[in-house]
Amino acid sequence: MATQFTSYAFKSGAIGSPSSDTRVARTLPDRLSKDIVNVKDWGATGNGITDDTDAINAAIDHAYTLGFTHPQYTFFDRHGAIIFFPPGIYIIGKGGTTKLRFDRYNGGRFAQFRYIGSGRDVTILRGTYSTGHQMDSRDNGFLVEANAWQSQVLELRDLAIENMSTDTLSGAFMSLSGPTSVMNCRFKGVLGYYSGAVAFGGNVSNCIFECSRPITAASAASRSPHFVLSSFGEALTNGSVGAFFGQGSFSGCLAIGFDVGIIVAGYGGRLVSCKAYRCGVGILGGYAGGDPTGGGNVGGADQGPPLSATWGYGSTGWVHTANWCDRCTWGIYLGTVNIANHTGANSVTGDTGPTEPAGIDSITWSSANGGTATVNTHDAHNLPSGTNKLVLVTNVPGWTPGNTGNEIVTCNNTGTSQFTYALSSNPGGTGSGTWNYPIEYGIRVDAPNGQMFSANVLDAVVSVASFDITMPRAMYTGHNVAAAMRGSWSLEDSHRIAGWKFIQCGTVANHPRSIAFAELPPQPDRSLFSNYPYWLLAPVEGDEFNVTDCAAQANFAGTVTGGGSNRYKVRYDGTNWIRVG
Amino acid sequence: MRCRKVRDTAVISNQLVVTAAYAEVDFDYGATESPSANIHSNNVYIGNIGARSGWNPPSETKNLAAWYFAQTGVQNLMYNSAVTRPNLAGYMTFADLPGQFSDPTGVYQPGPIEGQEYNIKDGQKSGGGAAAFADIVAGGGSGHYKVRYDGTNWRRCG
Repeated sequence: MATQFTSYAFKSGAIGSPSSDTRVARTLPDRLSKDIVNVKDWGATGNGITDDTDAINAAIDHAYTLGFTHPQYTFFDRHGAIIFFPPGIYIIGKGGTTKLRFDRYNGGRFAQFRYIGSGRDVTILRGTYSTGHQMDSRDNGFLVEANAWQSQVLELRDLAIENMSTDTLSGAFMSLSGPTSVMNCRFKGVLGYYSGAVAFGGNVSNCIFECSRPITAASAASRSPHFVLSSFGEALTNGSVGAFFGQGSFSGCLAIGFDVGIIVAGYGGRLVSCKAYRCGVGILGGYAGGDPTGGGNVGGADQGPPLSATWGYGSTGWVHTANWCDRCTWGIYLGTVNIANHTGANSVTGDTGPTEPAGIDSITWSSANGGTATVNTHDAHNLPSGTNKLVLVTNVPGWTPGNTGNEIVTCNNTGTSQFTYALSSNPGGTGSGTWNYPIEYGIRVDAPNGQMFSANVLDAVVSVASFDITMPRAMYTGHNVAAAMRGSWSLEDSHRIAGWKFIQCGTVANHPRSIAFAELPPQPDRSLFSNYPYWLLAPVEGDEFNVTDCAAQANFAGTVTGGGSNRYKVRYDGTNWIRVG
Repeated sequence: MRCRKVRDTAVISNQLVVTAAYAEVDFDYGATESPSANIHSNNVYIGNIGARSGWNPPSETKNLAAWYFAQTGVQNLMYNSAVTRPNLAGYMTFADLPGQFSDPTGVYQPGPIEGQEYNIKDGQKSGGGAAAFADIVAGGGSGHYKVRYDGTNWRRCG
């Protein structure tokens, strides 16, 4: 005979002697409704068709009645439970009008929920949601959010959240709830995961971030990922971001197809063993974005919209280690103000940018201008006017200037479906192949101070430089070390180089350069540092540099001045720069 | 930051921007213990920002050879901290070089080892006078020299 559901007791006398059996009888409803809240018990179907929003909300509301109430102070109340999603596709906000909140807050009653799925690709919360206010605290465009209270503790595990919207002002998941723990999840959207620059104590591991905008061909009118070298801010305004992470640990994750793969900002964290694949910028430290005066910011001015490019938040005290950026237009970009970070043992690889190659119908040769190849593209190429550096892959090696059949070539936009490039000799016949945008930089550094770069593998085929410190805010350069890195170097930024010590870097053809005498510390534009005097380059006794324009000084240890053409090594002895090499 | 017993350690890319009453970096923590616990060896200190509240050097100057500094320290202090040094450059003497003092238990910086280089503040040519390049160097002078151990002697190299 079946036991009535409401009176079924787990306790029995089967185990242990009656005198020592201290187990307590609990009913099945006790277990089902108080220990783990199963959304299907509240009407969720997970059938991929029915809108499960109300049912999931009912489960969360019920979980919020659990926990405990402090006898005196509601501030210390803790309400919450484990909320479990069996396998299935749970439709959220069918029709795009409703989102799902994972948080609850009611007059001091904190919610502390753990959301557990059955597997990253087995439990899927899916919807299409956009509000036009991505970061608004009340009306943001995230399909799922947990933003009610910064002290709320959350855990997400073994599930996927997919916002299928491709609108700029949309995203999959936002949490400003402090120490959120996210493991083995997948986020799909224009902005996959956002935790804010001042969120603290987070832990994100083994997650996948997938852009809801498909990767397009290089020729697409709305190219994705689309990253504009000349206007980083513009790219972010309309851009997609895999994960935006504040303080804590971010490890073992993968971001695919975003304008910016992974952003880390704020104080103190580690970004370890992650991969950014086919993104505009693979890894961004700090961000250029956020208008503190507009848009209904989340949590105040410090957390303006990260995609609106008029304000920034730095990255301080981060370790970026053992990450891999493959086929990203910029591999690692430490933008805005980056202080006291260690970036080591990362790899930047690839021989083309993130987009799919576009077809070439034909390549013909003429003797004009010393030899010109004319490319007729299969589709309109949508290239910017003027010259563009492109990756050409041709059927015959001779159709590329270096006779490789796969190289970066400077091309002139000469029509909607045509471009040309210099080619001194005629390979014969008619060529064909593909074109794509190149990788531009391996690592870019803007406003570095107290930074260590070591043992990074800069193997990407780049159109500009493997390692670049020429960004505008390089004026704030100081106290940096780069060690054990080859690749091509872009360093033509005058006295900023004095803010670096280079050890075992570069190649014979392309390496950190020596500097002019006037570029030695102290930096000539000290007024820039009025608020940050500890960024100043001293000089400090014992400092040594290689100088290109010394006046003749035949004697070892003789005082050196500039204005000549002698290349000396100089050392600061506490009073003067003296020749030591 | 306080350094008491520091061995085989790299201090890299830290921002130490504090208004400290005593010091921003204290290389002398433990010196008042009996016996002194302030013993260092084989350390590098590179790419760190700060020192506006100053550095406190080790009172046992044999510890100075334990540190290699690069891209670190400032020229002037900002605050009225107890310590007065913006960096430790120009603080070491010839007597502090590895091998120039007795270290029977081997707790200080190993050496001398060919290729070791240090900046000292009391250099002179062995026998007296200013040292030229590659001259053997001794202490007791006033030269702010960089010296290199060639396997036999400390010679001026900067």
